[in-house]
Amino acid sequence: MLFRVDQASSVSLADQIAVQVRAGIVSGELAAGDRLPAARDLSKALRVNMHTVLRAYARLRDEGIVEMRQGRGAWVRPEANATMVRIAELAGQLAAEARKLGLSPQEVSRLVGLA
Amino acid sequence: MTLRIRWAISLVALFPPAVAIGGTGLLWRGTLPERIASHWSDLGAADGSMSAAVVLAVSIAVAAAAAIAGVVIVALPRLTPRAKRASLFWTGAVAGTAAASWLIPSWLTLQAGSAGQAVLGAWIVPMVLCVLYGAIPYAIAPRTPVADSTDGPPPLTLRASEAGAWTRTVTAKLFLYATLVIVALAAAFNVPILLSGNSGSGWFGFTILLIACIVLASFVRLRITVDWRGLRVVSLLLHLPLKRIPLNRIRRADALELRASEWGGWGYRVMPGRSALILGSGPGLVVTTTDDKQFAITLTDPEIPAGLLNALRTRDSDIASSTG
Repeated sequence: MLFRVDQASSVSLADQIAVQVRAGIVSGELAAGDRLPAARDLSKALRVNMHTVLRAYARLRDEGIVEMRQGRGAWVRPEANATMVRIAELAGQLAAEARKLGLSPQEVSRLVGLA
Repeated sequence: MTLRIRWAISLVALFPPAVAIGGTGLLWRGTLPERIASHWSDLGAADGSMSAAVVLAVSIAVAAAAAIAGVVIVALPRLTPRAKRASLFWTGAVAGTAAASWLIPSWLTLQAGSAGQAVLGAWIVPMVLCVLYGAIPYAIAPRTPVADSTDGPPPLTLRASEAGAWTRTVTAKLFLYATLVIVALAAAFNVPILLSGNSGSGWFGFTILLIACIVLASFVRLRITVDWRGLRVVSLLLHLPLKRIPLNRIRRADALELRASEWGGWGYRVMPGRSALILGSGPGLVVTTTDDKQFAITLTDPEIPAGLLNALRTRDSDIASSTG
């Protein structure tokens, strides 16, 4: 799959990489079980720090989209699909809005529970 | 499509002699006398004999080696289809001769009861005509290459601050099957020969099959990468780069319809000025280097890597011209 990162963009490099993995899942280019490029390889190919790629992968893991294991790389979780990605995106937006309003994570999760 | 199948069938047709030798070798194991007829001065009884096990081992090794040589020649050619068909004829002839030199003497010995009583008679005819076995793969193999088709490379632009990388892992079923065939051959023919504690020819055949197996297996899992360094094809099994074309040596990249017959057949092909990894007919990436050499590889969506290579190339030359 194609990865593009723009050093001049206001979006962080890790976010740019994560967005493209999510887009790959939504478009069907990345299917469940597909392996993501090794962080070392991708960082060399994009000329970014390896930790940037790892940060992107770790975020996707936290969103439940990819699975990571030491020494075995990262791959798309069987549960990951377009809906999952959409929910993760919405959750991100909700968290960002809540931070702006000064809501604590507990208050946000209480609101989500009420909804 | 049909051309591909015909090449494949012509290669398969190289193997029946080895299979026949192995099959009859197992079938007659208990019943065949220890020595079989090996030489006739006329159409009468044999006047020379050899150890059946030695004849079996040598003939199967020759037949299998000839068949594999035929596959390799068709697979790695700087050759025209005509030359490949000729090599199919000759490797087929060798395999056929090997089969006849095992099957006929051992069958006659089996019928007569002992080597000394085996009468050649009319069997001289198949004994002589066995070289014509090569005509079978020769006749099956297709004669003509097919014309090229062209598409324009799709546009993709990169800003100066932007980096692009494309990567794809492919499993080449073609090489997987080829590897399995070789492993099956080794198991079916060479292991029994080795277990029976027989001669160097068994080891020779085994070594050839083992090398063929490793070479083929290295092509099963491939990672293809396009980035600022250029194009790379890496074997995931051996962690070895199979092909590397630096960006500054690339003139242009195209997404084309690849036909096996245009690139010399399936597999890793090397021709004068051209090389290719053809894993099946269909779309593929074709890279033309600055010294006008071409490399092609089968890919399901070659437009993206082709576009990226062209974009990287254009940007590099823009930067070079603006700074220099």
